[in-house]
Order: sequence, then structure tokens, then C-alpha cells
Amino acid sequence: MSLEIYHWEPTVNSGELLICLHEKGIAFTSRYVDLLAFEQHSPEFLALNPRGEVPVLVHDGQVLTETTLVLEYLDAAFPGAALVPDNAAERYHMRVWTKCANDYIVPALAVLGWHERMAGKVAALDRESINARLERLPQDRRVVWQVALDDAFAPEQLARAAQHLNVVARRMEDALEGSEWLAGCSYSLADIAVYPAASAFQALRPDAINAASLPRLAGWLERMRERPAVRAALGLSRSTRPEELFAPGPELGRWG
Amino acid sequence: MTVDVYTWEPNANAGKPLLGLKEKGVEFNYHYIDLAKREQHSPAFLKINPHGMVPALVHDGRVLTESSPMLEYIDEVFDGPPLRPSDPLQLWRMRKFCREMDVSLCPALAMIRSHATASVRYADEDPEMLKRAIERVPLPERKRSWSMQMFNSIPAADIAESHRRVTEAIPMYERALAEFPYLAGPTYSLADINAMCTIYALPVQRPEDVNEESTPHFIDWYRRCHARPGLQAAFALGHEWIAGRVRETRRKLGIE
Repeated sequence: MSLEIYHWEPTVNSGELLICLHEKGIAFTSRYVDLLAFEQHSPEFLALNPRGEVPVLVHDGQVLTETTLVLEYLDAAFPGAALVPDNAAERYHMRVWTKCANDYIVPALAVLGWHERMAGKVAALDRESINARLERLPQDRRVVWQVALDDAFAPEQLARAAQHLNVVARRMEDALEGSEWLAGCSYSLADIAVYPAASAFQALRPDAINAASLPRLAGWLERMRERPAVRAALGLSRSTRPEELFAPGPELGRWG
Repeated sequence: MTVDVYTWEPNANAGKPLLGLKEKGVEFNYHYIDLAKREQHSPAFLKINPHGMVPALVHDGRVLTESSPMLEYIDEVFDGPPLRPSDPLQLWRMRKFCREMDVSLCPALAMIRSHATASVRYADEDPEMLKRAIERVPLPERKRSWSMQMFNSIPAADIAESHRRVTEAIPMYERALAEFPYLAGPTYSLADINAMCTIYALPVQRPEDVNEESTPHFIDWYRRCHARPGLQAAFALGHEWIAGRVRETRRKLGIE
């Protein structure tokens, strides 16, 4: 059996996958892809994933992408702790949350985090050589990178990203009323899918997410942070402050 | 046990519970929510789904409102033929097709259609009335798309990008269906149901892209899907503009 994971820092999507692997105790080979060195746009990496996105899982030669779908794959294909609840109602809620992570939280955080923390750091990069790399991407991915590198987000887009995150934070606070975990009483892929982005949002907006404003959400973030699998995933970081690192992510929904 | 479905026509997301339940052979009460009258934003419907979106499924008092997780729930809790493969890799493929439809193709087609019909549909309506109708939409991202639709203000670049996505998706379906008879693999699954809800009539709507010569496997897949009694029963629930479109597609495929 061979299992290779191409990933960046243990933030958002890469973080979700690394936490899941540690929760299940699955041995894997780590292949670090440095997004800020644009390794994800190298011909070698694009041969694996033409969209130039991490993480990618290669299991016995089979290439799998789309993080939250890979999380369900890992849970079904490997032994170890069950990360999918044992009843249909909680499984439904779990999938609503993994979809929410994919469609709302991660894209919104990518816009806001990049604009506030990264745009200044990449201004000095050699755009000519980067643009040559971007030429290899599908149209929609190229646009996402160009907008990010130029820090050309429309004010409306930044406002929408912040609004998405605030709406979801409130929804999480409500979901955690009466249950310890997002999908219900069992810890599940819902918590794993949402945690890295929620944690980064807290680092970005400590005034909005804290024990006074959203106590249940703040408590859940603490519980997650203490899990050995979360600590192990963070241990794979090459940075002292991984929560300060962002990359241009999937686009915000175009049609509500 | 009671099953209540609050939805519109067997079309796009609204069609998912109808196609899923008919395929499983589950009895249900069909409550028609007329989107033309904007009943999904009425106080009565907002009591069922405060987000103001169809479909909603109420099963023994439990309310489900996210259509793709809803399809998995339907397959999990009701008797009838299984609609998900058991192999983890095929399951991943199934979910990948569902996800691509949900985040890329379905919104692209919805945007194209909204743009094409908006100038006729809203021409005679009072702009102040329309603004008040938008005020009643609960979710900010849906307010945005309703506003773009009603005031015909979708940027031309976005329409062009939507057309590009539809055009690029078609060869992807052809390649997948050249490999397997159904989207996830050898058996009919939620991926096919999800796709048929939205692209059931492409051979008629986009004959220049989807036809016997350029996409023979895609066309054969249409024949297999449209021959299914469960699918026919679901489309028969639609009003004439849906049922007629399905009949025309079946005629074109030579199965009517």
C-alpha cells in the first residue's frame, strides 16, 4: 500500500486532510508543496492535478482531489476511529457542514486572509515568471491568482467574504447549543472540515470570536486545539505561525 | 412514517428529492412551492426553511434543506434499490460529480437562463415592487443573485465564463461515460440523479455540443437514464414546460 499526500501548510484544506490522517492513525508519505514558491504550478504537479490545487492524495496510484470528499474516502477505505456518525440524521448534518466549509468558509477566508495578511508580502515577487506559470492553469484558477497577486478584490467581494464568515460563525454557535460537536454528539468529519478555517478566522478577528461574544464556538475551538491529531497536523508546519498564512482559494459562489 | 416534500418543479436542485424518492419507490406528499409567485419567500414557507430555498424534505418531523446531503439521507433511510456504490473509490467519484454539478455547472446554467429570460420576465413589474421582493429574501447571497436577475445586471464577463464552464464540462462527461456506463461507475447512482435534475434536456437544448457524433457515450447515458421508470415518474410530476421538454428529449433519443 502506498499513500502520498501533496500538501502545503496545515491550514484550510491541507490542514483538514492532515488532521483526518492523524485521527485515523493512517501512515502516509508527506510531499510538501510550497505554494508561495508556486510549486503547485510546476508541470510535475499539474500532471497530478491540472487545477494546481493542494491537497492531493495518491493512494496506490489513484489520484484523488476535493478535500472533503477525500475525507469521506479515507474514513470508508481505512480502519481506525470512525469519523462519520452512526446515524443518518447526524450524517446529514455532517455533510451540510463539510459542504459549508467547502462553499462558504474556505473561499471567504481565502479572500479576506490573503487581502489582509499576504498581499503586502508578495508585492515584490517577480510577476513575469509567475505569470508564465499561471498561463498553465484553467481560466478560472488563473483569474483567482491574478486578482490575489494584484490585490484587486472588489470592495463588494471583501464585504461578502466578511459577511459569509460572520454568518457562519453565528450558525456554528447555534449548532453547538446542546451538543459538543458540530454534527451532534459525535466528533466527525464536520469538525475536521471546519476547524482549520474557523481557527484562522479567529486569529484574523479575535474581537469577533472569543469566549465573551461566541462562547460555545470559542469552547469548541479550544477542544479542537487540544486534540492530539490537531497538534500533530500543526507539527508539520514549516512556519512558526501557520494561522497567519493564506493562499488564494476556491472562488466565492458566483450565483448565490 | 410521513414524508413531505416542499419543492417546485422536477428541475435543478428542486428536483433532487423528487427523483431520489421516486427511484427508491417511497410514497410522499408533494407540496408545490410556486417560484413564479415567489412562494419560497412567503412566511408559511419560511417557517419550514428560514433560508427561503427549495427543496425542503420533512421526514417524521425532521427538516432537511440542503439538497445534495438530502439525497444521501434519502438513500440511507429508505428501503428500495441502493443509489450509492459501496466501493470507496466509486463513492468518491459519485460525490465529485455531484459537487462539480452543484458548484460549477448548475450555477452556470442558472445564471445563463436567468440572464436570457430576465428582460421578458420582469419587464412589466414595478421596480419598487421588485426591490421589496428582494428585501424578503433571507440569505444575503441569494439577495444578490435575485437582484442581478431582476434588474438584468449580471456582468457580461460572468455570462461568458458560465458558457465556458458548460462547454468545457461536456467533453468531461463524454470521457467519464466512455469509461463507465454511469457517472460513478457500473451502477446508476446519486451522481446520475443529481446530473439529470439539471441537464436532462441538453441533447435538445445544446444539440451542437451534445449529439450522436461528438458525444456518443453521453447520448447513450441519456438513453439509459431516460428509460428508467423512477426518473419518468419524477418528471411526470412537472408542469407541461418540463414534461414537454422531457418528451422532446426522449423523442430525439429515439425512446418515445
